[in-house]
Amino acid sequence: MAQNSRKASAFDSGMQRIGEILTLLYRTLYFSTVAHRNLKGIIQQMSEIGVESVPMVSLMAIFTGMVMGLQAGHELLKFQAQEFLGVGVAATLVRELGPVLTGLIVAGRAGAAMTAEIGTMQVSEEVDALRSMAIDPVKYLVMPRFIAAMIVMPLLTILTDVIGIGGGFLIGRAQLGVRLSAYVGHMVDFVTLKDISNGIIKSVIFGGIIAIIGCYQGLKTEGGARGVGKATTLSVVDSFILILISDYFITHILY
Amino acid sequence: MESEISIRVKKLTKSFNGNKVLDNLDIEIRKGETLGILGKSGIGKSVFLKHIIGLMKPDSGEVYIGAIDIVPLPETEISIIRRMLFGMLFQTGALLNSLSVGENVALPLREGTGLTDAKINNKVKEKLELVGLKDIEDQMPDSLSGGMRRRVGLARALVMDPKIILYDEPTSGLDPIIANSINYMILEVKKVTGATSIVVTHDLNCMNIIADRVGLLYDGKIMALDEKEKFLNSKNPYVQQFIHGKIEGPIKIG
Ligand SMILES: Nc1ncnc2c1ncn2[C@@H]1O[C@H](COP(=O)(O)OP(=O)(O)O)[C@@H](O)[C@H]1O
Ligand SMILES: [Mg+2]
Repeated sequence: MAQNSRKASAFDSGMQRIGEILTLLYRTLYFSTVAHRNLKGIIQQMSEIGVESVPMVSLMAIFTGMVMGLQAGHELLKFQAQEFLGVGVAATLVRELGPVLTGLIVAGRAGAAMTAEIGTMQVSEEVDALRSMAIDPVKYLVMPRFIAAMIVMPLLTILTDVIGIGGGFLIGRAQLGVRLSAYVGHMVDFVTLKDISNGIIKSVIFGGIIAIIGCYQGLKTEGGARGVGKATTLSVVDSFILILISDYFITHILY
Repeated sequence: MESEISIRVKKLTKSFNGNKVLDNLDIEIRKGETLGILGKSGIGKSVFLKHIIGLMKPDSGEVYIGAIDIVPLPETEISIIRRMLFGMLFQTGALLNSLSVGENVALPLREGTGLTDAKINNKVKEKLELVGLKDIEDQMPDSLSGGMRRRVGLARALVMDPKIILYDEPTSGLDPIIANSINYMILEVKKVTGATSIVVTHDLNCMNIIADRVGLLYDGKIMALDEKEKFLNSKNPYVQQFIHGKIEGPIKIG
């Protein structure tokens, strides 16, 4: 009995959390209709997310590209098909790894930073202060981060793709003697516009997820500095899970 | 008589995880008065104030602002009432750390009115002067002392010309001299604005200087609410224990 009711309450609180997140999403979308009135806030958030993420994203991308160069190059060499290395690296990155890996890194850096910042504001009564001044925290804090993340994520994803493809070429050139013209030429032939646009769509959605989860956990923070740490961890974990799950469904729908 | 009443709280009850912080609390606050609520730390003073301005929803009870019970209202409507009537000074100022002092004070105007930059700047200056500050618009909150943060927080609370001002422990954590300067600032604000004020604190000296009436919050209720002189001379054992800081008495420690 007790076990059952505990299970039920865990289920209830899970459902409640989903409900709260969807409500936050709905309200954020509502305030996004007046996004043009807070361009300054959005641009500031874009630069914060960018600054947080660019170094890590670049590092991740170059090594991912190089590893793919090694792995795929090794296989292709067996068939004397190393010319097609560019296709393999680019298709994997553009469709799948680019948006997902970039999303995970942005969640870990910028999403966590959003939670820490808003969580600190919550426990120091700054969020209450906003409400006391008749300023909706969703409009003032969440909406600019949401819009900014959805703009910056595709840009960062393109950065990942480009650097990753470059990393793949470095290895292909050094180890397999692949020529740039062949590497790029086959890539352009085989990677379609649809691959690229689907990758962009994914990254935009991941950006929205990161911002909504990051802000949700921030606004839910309670219990001082320790609470901020806890919320930040939860934010990263939840964003990771949601990015991976939604990646499956988006792929399913888009292809 | 009815028109004299500005805020009326009826049977306000609020629990957190089974801990009853407010328990059928009743109180009336008169228009234009400064009401002081004393209470030890963690007893529910901030929770009480947050119910008055609708930042928290009670489990049950009513909060009448004038003739309107704000408890059942949605956030959007409470928000309108806050904009028209309320200003609140939070315990440590609650300034937004990412904004300068001037931007903090200007925030309610920027977000809630269509005033021009010039008008906003004038208003910010005027309110900062009212709390005794000059030429600090460009400083960041991090660089301010505790007393200054309260002043800036109060300037921000005053910028929309509120009819009701809520003060959450305006002097806690300040040295006695700075604390007193804040007390006299609150008196000055009252004189200039004529606003109805509620001050919650455990600082007796603060009460002595600023309050017209004083009550004691304990066990989720307001005890021994009276004119300041009568309150301080009251034989109520709770009041006696609190104002003399006695360890023995009906108020439990912990
Ligand atoms: N948001 C909240 N969630 C859970 N408990 C809370 C919350 N806010 C206040 N409390 C609890 O209510 C009690 C009263 O808190 P508070 O009003 O802050 O006391 P104080 O009189 O010092 O201002 C405390 O026990 C506090 O832990
Ligand atoms: Mg308090």
